[in-house]
Amino acid sequence: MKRIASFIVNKQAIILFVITVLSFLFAFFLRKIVINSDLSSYLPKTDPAVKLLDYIGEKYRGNSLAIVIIKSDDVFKLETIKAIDYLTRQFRQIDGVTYVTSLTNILDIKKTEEGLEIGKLIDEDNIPNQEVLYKIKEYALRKEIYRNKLISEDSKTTLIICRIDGDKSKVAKTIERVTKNADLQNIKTYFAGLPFQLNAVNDMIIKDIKILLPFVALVILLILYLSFGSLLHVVLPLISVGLSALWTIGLMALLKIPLTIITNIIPAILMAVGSAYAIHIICKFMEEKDENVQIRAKNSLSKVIIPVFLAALTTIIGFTSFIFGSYLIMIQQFGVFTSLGIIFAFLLSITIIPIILGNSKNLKLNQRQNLNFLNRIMEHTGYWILRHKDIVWIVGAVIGIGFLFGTSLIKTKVDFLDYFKEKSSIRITEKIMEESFGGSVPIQILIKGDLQDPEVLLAMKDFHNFLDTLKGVYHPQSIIDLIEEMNDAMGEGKKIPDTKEKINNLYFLLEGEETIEQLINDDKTEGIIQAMTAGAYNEESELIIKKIRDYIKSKNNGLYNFEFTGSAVVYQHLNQSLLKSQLISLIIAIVAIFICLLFLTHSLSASLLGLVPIFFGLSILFGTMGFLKIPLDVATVLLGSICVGIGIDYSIHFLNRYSYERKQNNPEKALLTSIKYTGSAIVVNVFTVMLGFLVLIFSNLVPVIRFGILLGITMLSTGLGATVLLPAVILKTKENKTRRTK
Amino acid sequence: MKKYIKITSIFFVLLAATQTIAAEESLNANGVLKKVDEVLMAPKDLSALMKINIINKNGDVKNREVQMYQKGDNKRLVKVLAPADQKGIGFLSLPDDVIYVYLPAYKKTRRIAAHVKNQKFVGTDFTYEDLEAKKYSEKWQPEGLKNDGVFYLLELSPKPGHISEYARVNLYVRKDDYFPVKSEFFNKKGEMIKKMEILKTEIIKGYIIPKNYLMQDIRSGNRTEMVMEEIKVDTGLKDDIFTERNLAQ
Repeated sequence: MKRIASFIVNKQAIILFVITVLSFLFAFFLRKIVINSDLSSYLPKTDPAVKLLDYIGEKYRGNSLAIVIIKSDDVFKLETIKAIDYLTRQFRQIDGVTYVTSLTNILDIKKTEEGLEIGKLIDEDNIPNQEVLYKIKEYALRKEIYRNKLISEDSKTTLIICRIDGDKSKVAKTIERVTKNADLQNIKTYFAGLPFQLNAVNDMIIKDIKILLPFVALVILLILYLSFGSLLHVVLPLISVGLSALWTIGLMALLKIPLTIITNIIPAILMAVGSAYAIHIICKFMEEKDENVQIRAKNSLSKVIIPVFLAALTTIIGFTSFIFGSYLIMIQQFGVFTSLGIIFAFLLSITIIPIILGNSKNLKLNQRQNLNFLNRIMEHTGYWILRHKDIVWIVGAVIGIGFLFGTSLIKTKVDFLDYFKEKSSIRITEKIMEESFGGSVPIQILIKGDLQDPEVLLAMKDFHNFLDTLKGVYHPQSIIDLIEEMNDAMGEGKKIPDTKEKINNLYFLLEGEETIEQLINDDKTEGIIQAMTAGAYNEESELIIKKIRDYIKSKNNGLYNFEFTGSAVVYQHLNQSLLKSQLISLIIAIVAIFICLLFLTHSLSASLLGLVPIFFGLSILFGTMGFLKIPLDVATVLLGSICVGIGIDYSIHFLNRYSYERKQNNPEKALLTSIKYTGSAIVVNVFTVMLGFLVLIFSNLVPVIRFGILLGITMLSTGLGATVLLPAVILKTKENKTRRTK
Repeated sequence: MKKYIKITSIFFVLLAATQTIAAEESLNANGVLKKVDEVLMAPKDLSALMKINIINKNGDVKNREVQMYQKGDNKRLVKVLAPADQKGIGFLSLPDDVIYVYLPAYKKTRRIAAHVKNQKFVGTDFTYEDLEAKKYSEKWQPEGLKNDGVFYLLELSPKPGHISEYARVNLYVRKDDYFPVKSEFFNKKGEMIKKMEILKTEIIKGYIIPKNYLMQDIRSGNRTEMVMEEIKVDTGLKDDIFTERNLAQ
């Protein structure tokens, strides 16, 4: 260890140069960081739901809808129609918008006295006068194809639906800009659909990083200053942690790994966790007595490098469990880059800090008054624990087991709308969509078969009827609607034609119509049924998916084959994998850490004791989630393993100190000293991290807020587990041992 | 001061000169467009077998064969001969945008309103507007004329009152016989959205008749090739060819 320390101090010029160059390099790449909040991209590309969604997106030119809601006192007023026409034309010219459907360009198939009119509901090149528009309104509201699909029943709301292919976020932004720049009088516009929601999340993520991160830093600095009363303690950790965050995010940008709602938390975690390594080194430096600062820096580093390394190692093990335990790409990325970030924080702490300390002149020895005060409090706490050890472990066990019951109440839910607060415009918009049109999120059913065959079309028709019976599914649409309308116009009633030839004749009439390309492929061997569902994902969505799956299973045969996808299905896969990944990550983390402990302590009982704070923390964490109805989602799923990773640091510190003190003292005395000194350090750390993370309460994203609160709870409970419960349990086991030996 | 007067006077002289040049150009442009219309002056009637290949961006080809009869600039009958599953489908276009369609599977004729001119003609990249046999000068006004030695390039914009899906059309006109061999169609954003070339013409009874067309849809990457065979002109097609009854036969 001495050699490493000497090397670092002796080669400081080169090391500082390398660090500076790397920092500039990563800072340069930092500008290129991309943000991705698209839930469907979080699943692996090989996921069947994602695969089918991609296929539909590619073949049918886009699988997501950006919807602009137009509200006025009557959408058939001439000025509103003109505005819709203007927007429709503008949207059509946006790169990435493949189709626009609105009142002024929707295909209309009319049965007229002299025959069949395939045209537009409203001729955009020749907008009729007000009188005619009101006639069209009556006609349109009578037709199922428009009512509640494109126009609300009270004709106060209508939609402009843009089908999007390509960069959803960019296209949605352009749509928003065009709409806001248009001079729309007496018309309100709202933006619905996933692309807009994704953008809203993106903007919030950026805002979070810009505003919250400095705050987290500030809070941590403040607490450190209050604890140690020295500026050096405050600035040095900030340098090492700040640089490690910069390197990590810079590396992500360099590797083109996007920031997600999860990875966006990495800098905050580094702030909270990484600062501890720096503090250890500084504290040790303060304890050293040598006059020569260079030598002091070397000595302190060589003594402290092992415990700091162990603390970093166990935390890394906690976070690497995500890499192996998760099916979700972004959670794997979170694991990889948090681990890397901690490695960076460790390396920077053991280089920059001793180098700076070794060059500092005449540092005043820190009085550490505040810390002395804390030590006294902890000493009293220690006495109290020793006196009431039975109460402590019984109460601890009751709390732990009580909260375990809460874990059974945990719900998993991946509801995109959940990201937004109740009063956010996205939530309000979604309400409008659900009230008037059933929802904004499409589900897609792909049918493969000969779509010129009446029997296949009848099967599609049956599927429509089945979807209509499902609660929460609205307005199935497919080529069927047009075929039936045209068959009716040809005088044979609103039904599927009875021969292949008739169907072919009708297809011929529709050929080249833009609308058709969204519904069937060129050689008529496959087609799409699209229906709308609410944006939320809940039990109802689960039920819908199950029923559709069962239906498909019962229907598929040699003649035709249905497949099913959509955001709801992607959410469901996300949900299932969340639960699975949480369990697997946790198990991997705990097993890995237990093995670590065995190596460190060479004792089975000590290793089991080391898990006490972790189990206590986990029980309270998941119990709280269950009782408070906080769902297990993309953000909270990480908490379990973070709890394990951070909690083990406390265990290691405490048990290390305890075994060291045991060599000279009886168990009681050893415990008291451990609680007094290591307990104080743990308390500082708990409050630093806890209050640092509580800053996340001010986030705009609900999952991030919950994450902040729950992490605070996790820190507090693992801290209590290590400083209060663990000593009581140690005493209890000692008692049992002595009783057995007697 | 003198310098200023000099500069302003030079400026005014230049301005006047450009004005005259512009006026001359548009006069010329109008002249060229008139000539084009004369050359295109459709024969009294025309019939032809049209072989159509519709090729999408992936290179998939769909073949069509239709028999077309045309009289004047507003009567047209089209009968589909191939593919087999569409054989017998027919269209009849009459003045004032009246279009009838016959569907053999239903054995019925129905009127369809194709007031939407940018609808595609039988699934090709040609819209009804592209196929209208109307004089250019009725619908378009020239904005400028360029001359590159081989072609006149006419830049056309829709005349007030003429509704078109195109905001501008560039017409490349052969200088020797005033035949427009290439048209480029632009949208309001100034992007070229379609390009039509007449690859081959034939002189029949003194008319220059286009024989091979190529229409490219720039945005979708699709293209349509159309070849006219068995072209007959001025055979005195009777009006009763252009009736619903005949359509249904």
